[in-house]
Amino acid sequence: MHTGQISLIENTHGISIVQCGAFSECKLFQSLTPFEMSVYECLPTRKKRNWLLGRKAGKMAVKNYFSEGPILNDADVEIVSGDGMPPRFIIRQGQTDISTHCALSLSHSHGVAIACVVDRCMHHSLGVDVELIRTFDTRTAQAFLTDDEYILCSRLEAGARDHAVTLRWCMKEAYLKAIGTGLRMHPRTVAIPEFLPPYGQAIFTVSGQRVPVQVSWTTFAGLYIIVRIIL
Amino acid sequence: MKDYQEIKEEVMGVVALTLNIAPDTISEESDITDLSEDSIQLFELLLAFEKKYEVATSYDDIAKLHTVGDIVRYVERVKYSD
Repeated sequence: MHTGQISLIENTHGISIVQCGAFSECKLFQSLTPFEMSVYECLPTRKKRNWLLGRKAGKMAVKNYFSEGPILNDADVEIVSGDGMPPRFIIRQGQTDISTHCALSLSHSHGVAIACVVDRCMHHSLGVDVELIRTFDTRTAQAFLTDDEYILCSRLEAGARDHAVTLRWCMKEAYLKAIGTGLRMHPRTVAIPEFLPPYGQAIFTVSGQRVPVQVSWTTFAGLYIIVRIIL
Repeated sequence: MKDYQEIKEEVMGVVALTLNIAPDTISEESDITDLSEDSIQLFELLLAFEKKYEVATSYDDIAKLHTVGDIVRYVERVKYSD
């Protein structure tokens, strides 16, 4: 799907997905605010493309969330992140910032970026993750999976195992984003149940405590797993 | 006992090998999240340091290290200081 154009897909769960061809960085750059441009210029070259995709996905998610309000352009939406804090966005319409009641989560991986916005009044928090499906070496898988998860995944044939292990990584990372720790909390402390509905409630076990979460997940382009967790 | 320069070269070697990047693209100021392609690579890098130095510390401590220089100073402090 590398057409050279930005492609946007809205899935049914309100996650904006952006995939970019090789020649559209200029177009993505033009959607940045002056502050975002200054951040972009300081990034290492190898990070710039995914960072741009993340910003584009974030802006699309914000515009989608506010689709019944005033018409927004990409450059009306400024996404701010860093210092280990969750990303946030700013919309300036005159002197009023209308973004303060929302939560934003972003993720990007190998040429695909996703973003989602939810209302803080309705949901406690939000985390999303996208990862390229891959084969994990045994040591890495054992390091972030619980013993039960590892045994479960080990019983699967190779393709299904890669999918199952990657899905569990995504679930753990999205959950850790939702609670605000990210990888400062070890992913092994979060146990994912054997059955994960594509959309609905699941019970995670976090440091021995049962935690209900709203999960949605999908496989994108046969290559990526996309997960959203809402608490 | 290794000196700072030796530890730095060792740490940069682990970073280059684990992330499959050229050693000459790494400096003390390099941010490890910038060097990593994604969060899984970052996690693999943390595992590589745990294995290399057998550092018994909390994951929270390791995750607070941001630059290659931070890792070098951390290893020097917890592994080689008296």
